[in-house]
Amino acid sequence: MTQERERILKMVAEGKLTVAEADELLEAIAGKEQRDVEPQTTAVAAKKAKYMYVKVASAQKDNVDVRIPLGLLRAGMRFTSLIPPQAMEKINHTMQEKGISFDLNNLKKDDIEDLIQNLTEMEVNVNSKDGDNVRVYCE
Amino acid sequence: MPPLFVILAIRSSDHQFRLWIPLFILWLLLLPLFILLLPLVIVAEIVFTVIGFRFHPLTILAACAGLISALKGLRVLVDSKSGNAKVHINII
Repeated sequence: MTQERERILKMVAEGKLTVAEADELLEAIAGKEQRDVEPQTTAVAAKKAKYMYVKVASAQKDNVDVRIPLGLLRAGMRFTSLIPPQAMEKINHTMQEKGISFDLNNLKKDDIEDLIQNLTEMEVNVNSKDGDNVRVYCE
Repeated sequence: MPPLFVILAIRSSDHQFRLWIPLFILWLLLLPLFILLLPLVIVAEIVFTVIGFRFHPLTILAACAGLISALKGLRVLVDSKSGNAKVHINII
């Protein structure tokens, strides 16, 4: 609890402030705190990844470098809403048979957004003994 | 904003070429067709919604447009030093 909140509650207890006045003051403090937090959130948003990179480098100097816009993942995921219900049921049933307990019907737009944003923290780095290297990351 | 160009560069041991495909010309050509078809699509959307048919042409159209727009920035570079071949695809 901040000092300001504590002081307001103390004033209510002492009868110097009414509950309604205290409520107004507490709301004003909450608004101020929200404004203080917002620039940090914006700074995080600015770091949002735009692309997924898949880089494969073989020891024989054969290289593959793919840059996939994350917007493409979003657009692709939007197509899940176009899957007919019968096909969706079949997909869910097959996934459950394979031991994947996941219902595509429960996939919400916010979940997809969270999933894509959390990809920024993902990095796959595979090095083989032969000197081949596979790297998948988002930036 | 849809992609405006596809840059294609292919090199093999005996051939090499670089191609700029102007997609914006394709979009300009498709625009009148799209404008003409849009009322029909909207009518079809309304009719299908009213009769309860689970087919939404407007949603499909929007999803396709989103997919095409999202292609901007896609880059595929394949370099094979051992096979002396190169394929570069860049959508801008």
